[in-house]
Amino acid sequence: MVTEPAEADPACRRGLLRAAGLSLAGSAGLLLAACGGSHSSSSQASTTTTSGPVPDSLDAALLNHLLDLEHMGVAAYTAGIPLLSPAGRKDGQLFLTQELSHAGELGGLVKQAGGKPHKGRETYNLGHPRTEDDVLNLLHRIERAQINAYLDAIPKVSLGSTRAALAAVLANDAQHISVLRLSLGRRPIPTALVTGHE
Amino acid sequence: MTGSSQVQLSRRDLMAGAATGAGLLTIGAAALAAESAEAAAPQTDAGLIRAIVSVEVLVVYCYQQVLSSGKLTPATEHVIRQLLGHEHTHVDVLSAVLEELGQEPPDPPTSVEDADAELSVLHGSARLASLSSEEDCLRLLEQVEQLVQGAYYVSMSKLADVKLARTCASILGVEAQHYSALAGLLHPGDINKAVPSAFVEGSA
Repeated sequence: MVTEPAEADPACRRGLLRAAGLSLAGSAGLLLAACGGSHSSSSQASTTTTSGPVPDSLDAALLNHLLDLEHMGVAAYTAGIPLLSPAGRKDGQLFLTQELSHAGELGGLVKQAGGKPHKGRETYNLGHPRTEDDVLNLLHRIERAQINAYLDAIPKVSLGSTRAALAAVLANDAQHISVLRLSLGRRPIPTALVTGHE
Repeated sequence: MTGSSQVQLSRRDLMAGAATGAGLLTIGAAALAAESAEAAAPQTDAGLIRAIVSVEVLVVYCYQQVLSSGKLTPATEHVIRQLLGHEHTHVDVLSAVLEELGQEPPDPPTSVEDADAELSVLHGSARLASLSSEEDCLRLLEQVEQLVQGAYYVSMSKLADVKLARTCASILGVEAQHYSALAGLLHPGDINKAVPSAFVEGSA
């Protein structure tokens, strides 16, 4: 009997990644300064040799694109949280922790697909948010871009288990954007299907 | 065995499959197979979507029962009506898919007793028959949202049609938002209750 590589003990891996996300969150303030280096090229991605179904060679590139967006989300939350109200900061800290978990999950998936996970950039062009609304709008745009990217990637990745993992992250980002929309005075759940355009 | 009990058996089998993925879906399909040759292949997209729609129509039934319970404040009722509208859309979208795949959508539960029995099959502990407050109503809906999330999540890795997987991911996202809205009503200001996990996998 063959199994998909991504099916190998996912609970154990997820638990480790979650723990990593929590510990990373504690040092989130250091993250922007600490994350250096340039992106690895997607051409470095290669498939692993296994006895079961293997990820397509394009998977690593797709997953690294999603990882890039998660890194940007981490940077935006890290930079934006100080400008939020106390209630907003509490939300932001939780979402930052969850974005870090997403990045950890995606890094693991990139490796499973035979690629090298991208690191975050040293700097991001996040504009010049000055008010809480500026920050919330920035975070809304980034969460929306992430949702769009996940919806684009889900039909393209080769393994069903990877699709499920991406959907689990997408749904959490959908919760983030719903809370952000509510904070911005918009309808929190404007559509019956998440499209990434709302 | 009457015709209606045959339908009921099928619904429960389908939902058992939705609750626990491939293993029990096989059991459900085996039961169906005795009555319907078209159900002989449980891991088909049609079988997976039919299992999801079985849960979705139960969700719709639960929302309708909560709305008619008289336990909700006007503000909460307003929110619940919006969420119910989304659930109707999910049923419509996936029922259309089922019809394209040559299958009839499953019937909804016909009574509170049947719906509670189906919740039990799905390992849900809340019961429509014991709703005595708004809090009870919201907790039940939270639970059914987690159940339907689980049905979508389990199916994500099994659907052969990747565009269909994308549609299910879109719906899973909204079900997750529903959960947050319900938790927000139950626990105002507690973001950890509203968005409890970085990975939304439901309770299947």
